[in-house]
Formats: sequence, structure tokens, C-alpha cells
Amino acid sequence: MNSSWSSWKSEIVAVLKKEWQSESRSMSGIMTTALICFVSVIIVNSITWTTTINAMIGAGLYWMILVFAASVSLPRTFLQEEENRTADFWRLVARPEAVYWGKALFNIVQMLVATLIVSILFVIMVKVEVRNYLIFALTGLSGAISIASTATIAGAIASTASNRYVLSAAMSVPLLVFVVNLGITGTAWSFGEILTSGEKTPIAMFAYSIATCLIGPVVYSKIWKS
Amino acid sequence: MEKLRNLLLLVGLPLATIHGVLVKDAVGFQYPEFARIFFWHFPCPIMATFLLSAGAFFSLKYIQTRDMSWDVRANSANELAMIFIALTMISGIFFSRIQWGAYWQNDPRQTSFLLVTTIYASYFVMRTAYSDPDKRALNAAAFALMAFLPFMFLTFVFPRLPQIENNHPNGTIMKGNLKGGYATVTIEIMILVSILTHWVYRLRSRAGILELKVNNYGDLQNTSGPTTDTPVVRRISVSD
Repeated sequence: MNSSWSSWKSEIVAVLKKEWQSESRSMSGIMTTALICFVSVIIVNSITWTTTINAMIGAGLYWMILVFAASVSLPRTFLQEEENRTADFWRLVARPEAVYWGKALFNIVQMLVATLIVSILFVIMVKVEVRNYLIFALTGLSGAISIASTATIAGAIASTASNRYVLSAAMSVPLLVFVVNLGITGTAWSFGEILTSGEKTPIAMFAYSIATCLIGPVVYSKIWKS
Repeated sequence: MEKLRNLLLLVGLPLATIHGVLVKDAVGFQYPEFARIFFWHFPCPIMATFLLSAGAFFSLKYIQTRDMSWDVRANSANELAMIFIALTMISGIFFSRIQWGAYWQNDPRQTSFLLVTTIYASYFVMRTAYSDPDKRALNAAAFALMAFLPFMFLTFVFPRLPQIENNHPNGTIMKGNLKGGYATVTIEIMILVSILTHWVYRLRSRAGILELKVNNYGDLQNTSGPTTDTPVVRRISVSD
């Protein structure tokens, strides 16, 4: 049991380390994500600076920024493997579930950073008042996990297609719409919108994120050898 | 069996339509005479839900067996489901305009079905991105399995969330609120649409499997009985 767990752990950590090392060479992925988040918040600020936006619209804009930033930047982890022709290497040295988990964990960290950046900028620049920081944080956290795991598997599925970058974004956005919908409800509630059971939204989002985290590796292991 | 089905559809569909027109008006609608669109609207999302579930199941079978006929079945089921989703949206939009005053009401069920449409639209977009049939089938199957989760949430959970205000009544049939002539016509049309769906699905999947066999002519020769002694050879010429 212990040796099995340690071999899993070492494979996942190896993938995670590789992701971090290749990212740290140029910081391209993190910089791109941060730039998209920053520019998006500035655009929202520039179109709303003369007006006060209500909680629901504010929450909608917040999640739109997150989901589009994620759909552009997160599938990159798998797409790059195909581009650099290193995907076969992983097929030789690691189990598919471990590869998925390593990349998903990297994407979750990246998404959490993006969520943090967007949240801080949004609160400062778009002037929305957060009434409940706990629900705001929990909604962001569960949303980031769901978005990262879904975008990871979308990237994995699209990685062998001819137009992989466009396709991965086109595939991940519809799959994320439900999470976004829940996220908007929870965030709007934390901004003060009166919504029945809005405070329970993070529970549903956590349930969804667990489901996607469980299904993702199973689906990936099936397309792994193609 | 086929004759019985054809007879049922040929005779049953017009009769059920006439029965639907003659049935007593339902109460509680702004224009009760137009509420009859319900008879045709109601089976569409049910058929779509059933077909999308079947599509996910066939995708799983493809992943397990790598038999291309399962991919054909999954694609056929999803294609037919898209037709039913379109019919649901169209009939729902007219119903919404007549009874609620606007074509689009931001009703949770309308919205959730639209979201399901976008998910499965990307399934078909994805299929076009692969030229290799095996890769296409495998990745489409993986996507269909991934899409099944949001589809289930959007269809069964989202419209029933406590914070969601819904124009669509929840559990009308389960609570026994669909009674009398309305219930009879609904059941009649539901049965007939189910038969029609099964027939169209079988036609589409059989055509797909035949197409597959024609494309894999060599495999067909190896697996399906006696073959011709001399293979067909066509002359080809390459122009300068």
C-alpha cells in the first residue's frame, strides 16, 4: 500500500516538477494568465467607471474574466507536450492518471493565483463591495479547482487535433458554463445580492469540482495511448 | 413488426394530433387553445435527454471495446438529440411568447437547455477537428463522457436549485396534476414520438455502420463470408 502510494506520489510530483521547471524558464504561462486577468479587469473598469454596477453584473463580469483567462491559458500544459513532441516520453515513464494529476495540480495552482489576482484587482478597481469574504473566497477557491480540472481534460482531449489551441478553448468554455453559473450566484450573494440559498453555492461547486477531478483522470487514461 | 410500426406512425400520429385538438382546454393558461403545443414540446426534451444519455453510454462502450460501430451509435444518438434539442427550443420559444409574453424569458430551463446545446455543439465541432477516424472516435467519446456531467447537472439539478425561480412547473406529472384528456394525449404522443425516435435512430446508425463497412471494405472481405476471387483493381494515371 505504502510503496504503491509512494510510487504514485513520485510520479505526480515528477510531472508537477517538470511543469514548474519548464514554466520557470520563461514564466510564459503565468505571465500570460496574469496579463489576461489584469487587462480584462482594466477593460471592465474602463467601461464601468462612470457607473455603479450591481452585485449580479459584477459577479458575472468577475467570472467571465476568470473563465476566459483559464480557457486560453490552462489547456496549454497538454498542448505543449504534443507541440514539443514530449508526450510520448510521459507515455513511457508515468501512468496516465499521474500525468493528469500532475498537470491538473499545476493548473489548479495557476488558477488559484489567477483568481487571487482577479479578486484583488476587481475589488479595488471595479468598486464592488464584498459583504461576505468567506463565501467570496470559498466560491473562488471551488470555482478555480473546477475550472482547472475541466480545462486540463479539455486540453488533453484537444491536444492531438489540428487546431488544438482554438479547439481546447471552444471545448472548455461550454463545459465550464455550469460552474460559472453557480459561481455567479455565490459571488453575487457575497456582494450583497439577495438570493435564496446563495451561501450554499460553494458546496455545490465543491461537489462539482470533486466530480470533475475524479472523472478527469479516468477519461484521460482512456485517451492516453491514442 | 415493421409494418405494425409504419401503421402506428401513419395512422397514430394524425389521430393523436386530432385528439390533441379536440381535447378540452387546460386551465391556468393565458391562451388555453395554444397550450396544446405542450403535447409536442414535452416529448422533445425527454427524447433528447434519453438520447444524450444513450450517447454517453455508447461512448463508454467505444472506449472499452474500440469498436467503431459504437462510435457510429454514439454520434447518431447525439445527432438525433441535437434535433430534439432544437425542436424543444423552437416549441418552447413559441410557448414562452404566447403564454409568458416574450420569446426569451431567462427561464432556468430554457437557459439550461441552451447551455446543453452549446456543450453538444462543441462535441460536433470537436469531431470535425480530427481527420483520423480512430482519434476522432476516441476523443469524441472522451468528450461525450466529460460532457455528461454538466449535462446531468444542467438538466436535473440546476433548474431545481432553491435559489432558482422557475416558470416551468416542477413535478407536474409526479404530483398527478396532468389529468384527463391532456394526460391521455400526452401519453399517446409520447409513445408515438418514442417509436419514431427509435426508428430514425436505427436508420441513422445502420446507415453509419454500412458507411463504415464500405470504407473498411478490406475488413468486410475478411469478416463477412465468401469473397470474390479476383480483387477489383482500378487503373490510375498520374498527370504531369
